[in-house]
Amino acid sequence: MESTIRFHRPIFSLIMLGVLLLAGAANAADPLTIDAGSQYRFAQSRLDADAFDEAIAEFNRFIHFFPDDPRVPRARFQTGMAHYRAGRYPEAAAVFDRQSRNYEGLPLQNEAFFMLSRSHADQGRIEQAILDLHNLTAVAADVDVIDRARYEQGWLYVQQGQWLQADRAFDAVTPANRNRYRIADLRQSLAAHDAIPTKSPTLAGTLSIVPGGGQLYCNRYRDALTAFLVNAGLILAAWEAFDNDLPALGGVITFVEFGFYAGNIYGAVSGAHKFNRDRVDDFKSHFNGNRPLSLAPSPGGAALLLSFDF
Amino acid sequence: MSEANTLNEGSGILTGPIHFYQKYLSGADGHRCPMTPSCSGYAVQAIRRHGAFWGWIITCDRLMRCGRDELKLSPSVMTRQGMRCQDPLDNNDFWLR
Repeated sequence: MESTIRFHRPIFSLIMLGVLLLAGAANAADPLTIDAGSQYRFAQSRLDADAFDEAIAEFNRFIHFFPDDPRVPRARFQTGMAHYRAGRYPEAAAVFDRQSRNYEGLPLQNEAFFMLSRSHADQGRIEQAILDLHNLTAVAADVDVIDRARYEQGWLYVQQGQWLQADRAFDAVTPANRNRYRIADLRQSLAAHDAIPTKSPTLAGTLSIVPGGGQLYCNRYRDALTAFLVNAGLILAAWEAFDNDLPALGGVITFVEFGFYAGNIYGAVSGAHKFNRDRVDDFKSHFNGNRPLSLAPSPGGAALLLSFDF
Repeated sequence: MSEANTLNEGSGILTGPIHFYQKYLSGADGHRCPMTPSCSGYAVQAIRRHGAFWGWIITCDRLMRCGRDELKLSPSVMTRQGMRCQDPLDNNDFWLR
C-alpha cells in the first residue's frame, strides 16, 4: 500500500503540472491592442462623464502615444476644456493660449481664442478677456468669427458697466449677423443706462455736515435719524461738560463724538456708493435677462445655447 | 519692521479691548447683534484692515447703522445664532480700496 502511494505521488504531480500548463496555454489570448481611435474615444468618454482629471490623463496619453494623429490638436483643446469645466481657469487659459498661437484661421484656434477669453473672464480678469477677443478680431479673416468676438466683447463690457463701449462693440457687428445676435434689441436696452438713478457720494458727504443729511439724501431714513440723534446728543453732552468746567470729560466726549461725526460722513458717502452699485447691478440683471441666446463651444465650433431663468 | 507688521502689532493692541469685550462682556446678555459679522467682529476686521484711524471711523458708522435700514437693504443669512443681516466689511469699503 505504501509503495503504491509512493508510486502514484510523482505521477499525480506530473498530471497536475500538465493540466496547469495546458490551462495557461489556453488563457494566453492575443494581447490587447489600443489604437488611436479607442484611446481617443475612451478619453472623450471620461470627459463626458465629468471625470476631468482622468480625461486630462487619457488625452495626454493619446497625444504621447499617437503624436501624428490628426486629432492631437483637438485632444489638446479637450484638456483645456477639462481644466475649464473643473474650474481650473488659469490652467485652462494656459492650454488655450498655447493653442491660439501661430494663428492659421483654423476653427479650433478660433474656439481656443474664445475659451481663452472665457477663462480670463472667469478669473475676474475682464480687461484681459476683452483684449483676447480684440486680438482675435485683429488676426481673424472670417467675418462670422469677428462678429462673434465683437458680440462677446460687448457682453464683457456690460459686465464691467462700460455701457458706451458695450454699445460700440455691439454696433460693430456686421449687418449679416445683426439679426442673429439681436443687436437692435440689445442696443435699445443698453440705451436705458442713462436712466439708471444715481446718488453723488460727494454731495452725500457734504450734506452730512449736518448729521444724517447724507443718509437722508440716500433714502436711508432710519440711519439718518440715528446719526442725527447720536451726534446731537454727544455734541450737547460735550458742550455741557465744557460749560460745567469738566474739560477732561468734555475731551473724552469730544474724542468719541469725532469718531461718530466722521463715521456719519463716511456712512453717507458709503451709502451713496452702495446705492449706485445696487442700481447698476439691477440694470445688469435686467439686461442679462435679454440674453436668452448665448454661444457655447461644441465639437466643430459653437452652438447656440438657449437659457431661461425660472 | 515692515508696515504690515507694524499695522498687525498696533491693531493687536487696539483690538485687545474688543476681544476682552467679546470674551467676557458680550455673552452676558447673549449675542444680540442683528448683523453678521457682529459689530465687535466688524470693528476688529476694520481696524486690522484699515488701521486705528479709519478702523475707528468705520466702526462708528457700523454702530449707527446696526439694525436700521441695512436690515431691509441687505440679504439675510442663517448663522449659529439664527438669521442675521449680512453686512460684511467688503460691502462697506469696496469703494475705498
